[in-house]
Amino acid sequence: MRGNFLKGYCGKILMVDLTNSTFDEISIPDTIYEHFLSGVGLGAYILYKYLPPGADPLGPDNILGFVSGLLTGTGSFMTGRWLAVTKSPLTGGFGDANCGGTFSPALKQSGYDGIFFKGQAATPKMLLIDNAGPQLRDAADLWGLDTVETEAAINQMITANKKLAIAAIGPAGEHQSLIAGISNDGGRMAARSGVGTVMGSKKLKAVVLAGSKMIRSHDSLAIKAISQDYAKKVKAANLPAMATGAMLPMMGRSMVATDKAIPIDGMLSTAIIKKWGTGFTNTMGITMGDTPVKNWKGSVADFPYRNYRHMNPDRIQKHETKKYHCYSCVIGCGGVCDISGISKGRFPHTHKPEYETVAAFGSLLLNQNRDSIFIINELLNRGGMDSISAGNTIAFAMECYEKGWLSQEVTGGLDLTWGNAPAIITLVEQMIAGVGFGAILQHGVKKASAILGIESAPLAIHAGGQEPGMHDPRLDPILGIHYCCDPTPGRHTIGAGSYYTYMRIWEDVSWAPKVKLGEDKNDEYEATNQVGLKSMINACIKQILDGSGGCFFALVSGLNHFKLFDYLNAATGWQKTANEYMTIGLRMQTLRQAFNIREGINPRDFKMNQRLGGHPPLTAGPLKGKHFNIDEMMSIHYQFMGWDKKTGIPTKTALSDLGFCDLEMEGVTHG
Amino acid sequence: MADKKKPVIDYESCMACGICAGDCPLSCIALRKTDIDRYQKAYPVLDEYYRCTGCTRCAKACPMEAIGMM
Amino acid sequence: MKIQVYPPPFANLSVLDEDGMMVLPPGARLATVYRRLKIPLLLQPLVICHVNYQRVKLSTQLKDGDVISFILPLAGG
Repeated sequence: MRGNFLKGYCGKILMVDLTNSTFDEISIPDTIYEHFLSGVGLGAYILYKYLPPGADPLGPDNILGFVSGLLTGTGSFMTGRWLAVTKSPLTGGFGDANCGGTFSPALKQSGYDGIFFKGQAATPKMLLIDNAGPQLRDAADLWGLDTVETEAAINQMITANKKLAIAAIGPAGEHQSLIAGISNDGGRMAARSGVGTVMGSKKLKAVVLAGSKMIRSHDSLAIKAISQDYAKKVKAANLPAMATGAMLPMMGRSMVATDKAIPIDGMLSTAIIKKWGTGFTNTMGITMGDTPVKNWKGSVADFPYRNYRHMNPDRIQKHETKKYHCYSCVIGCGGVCDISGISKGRFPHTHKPEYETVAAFGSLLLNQNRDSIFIINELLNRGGMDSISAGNTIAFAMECYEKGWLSQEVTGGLDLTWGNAPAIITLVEQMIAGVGFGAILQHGVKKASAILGIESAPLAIHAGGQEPGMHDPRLDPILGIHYCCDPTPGRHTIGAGSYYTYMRIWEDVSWAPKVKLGEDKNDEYEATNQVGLKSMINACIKQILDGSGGCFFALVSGLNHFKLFDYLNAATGWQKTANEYMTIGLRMQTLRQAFNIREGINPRDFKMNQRLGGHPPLTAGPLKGKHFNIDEMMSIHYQFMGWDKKTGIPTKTALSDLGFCDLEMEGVTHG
Repeated sequence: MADKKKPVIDYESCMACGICAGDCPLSCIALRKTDIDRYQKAYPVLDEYYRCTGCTRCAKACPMEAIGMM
Repeated sequence: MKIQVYPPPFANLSVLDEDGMMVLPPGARLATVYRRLKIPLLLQPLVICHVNYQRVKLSTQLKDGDVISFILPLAGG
């Protein structure tokens, strides 16, 4: 066991049985880390091994895990992310949600690479781990509090040597809204897949960490050297002082002015993120066609300058009092905004609204009221609800209302005309509380559409039950492949054609195709081998990143700068090549897919709404007429993943090549 | 304890990554100094001078080697 | 000499090969690269250019193997 302590990981997990209030420390052999890394890979392994097939996602048999990354706490930069993993109540398959803050290092400082929960408590509980070990505490007094209040109350209740790292659910998770997330650091959300719903079903209000154990790596000097090299470049990447947010829409237009691929240095893009965070694309995304408008059926023509100018990140940043960044981050994309004036004293401050929230409650609903977005952002953070899913669901309701399928009788008197900000705020409050018309929308768009009737299904934008992120596949079809083909569908952070260009992975991985200057970007609208290969590489590298606790913005700053593979070798003492790591990524992704197959998922059911493939095509804006064949795109991805081209089920050969037979993982289904 | 060497942060090389604050076993370091760069990034400050035991964990953990014990 | 260029999308790309390399006479300066890429004057305030990941003046003399990058936004959120 001692060897583990010098490999960056802890070598053990904690399994908490909430039904019986017992703890089980499980040692994880080195070979598991070598096959699946830590993080999402370890999470998938534990779920596959310990979750009874067919378990009810909201029943006692489901397992909810909190996992940190292999590189977290090793001195590597941009590796402070953790994930919640579970069987998703939204999709019925593998579920995970990625989040930053200070929770990820706290997991490992508590002595575990992951903490998993099974069973269900009879009354609300919270888990506390300090250097004395784990204990379950009563949390009945916390039940009903929002996430910010919960953190404050726990800090009052518990005194520890170390500042507490707290992950908690809000009212949305408590009353089983299917789009509930888990919050830490006062509003950083692991929001997707309904992970907060599962936490609520287990009556687990919070996980509180105060351990201070050391994390040791094989070669910490080598890690520092890589970190310093990366930091030097990030430090030098700054926009000129005269660059303002007003220039971004023009930038967006110029991005789509050419159909030719251009080599991109992702490192300098970090300058933009340093200045504005994700908000840089609030307006730019609209002019380039990346940002969805009017429930994905509109364009910049429906939300022109006079509307979108209110989302200028400079105007949002006027409220920013300081930056906020995750543990080990040298970029710093987050911020804290003072909204006491905007909210008339109701909330003192909020985390700076991320682009996803601005888009989901801005252009997607034709809402130009910036103040409302600050308030909605804080409501969702406190309520513990996914902003992407909530925005998509309200957009669906607004389109139904426009069509006359929803009367004010059904909406409880709410006038759901596009852009009606006061109505949107009320609806968000209702969804979090699970009351009024919000009770119908609180479970996401798929369920809402099922309740409202079959004819509304074409307006319900989702992939396999998961609402998509605020990036349009009609601009970047490879993004659409990941929306449909990832075992956790609807994610904008798995990959895209543009992300592939920024990563420059071909400098490390010998078989990765190089993006050449002048390549026709329109080629990506066809299901070619090149597209299949790129999407397969995206999926694999994302798993490696999520197994390491890495940040997506580090990945797109370029692997030529963010030396992920070197970091992993230095932390573990392995001497694996980039190609070998890609095999690990493929194995991790295949395990997640195999989990879905075992749970009875038909991968083809994850096909996203036709609208996102341009069927029918948009009639205005930069994406006018753009479309692609979603089914063919899915097939080509499956094929390159080594999954059956038709069914998406991993083939016997692929499973055997990836060594699943040797791992004694009984019942990994094949096609 | 007060005569022990305490961490001193060199803000020239510090990247405000927060690793020192996250690794300090007693959470003596807080991220709250915002006047270093133009982004108002929150840089570390030794807030709890007397609680600090001078264990050097922050200095050893700092990837930028920006913390000296003095 | 040969330098690596990461150009902005609105540049004149015909001066680069498919790997984004540009051939320059010895002693060429950064201003030459600007001229060849035909960066529009209007967009120059937003464009930021680094040589080997450091900000330098337009008069900087280049050398073989230099990496010249122009800032480009990316999607994310």
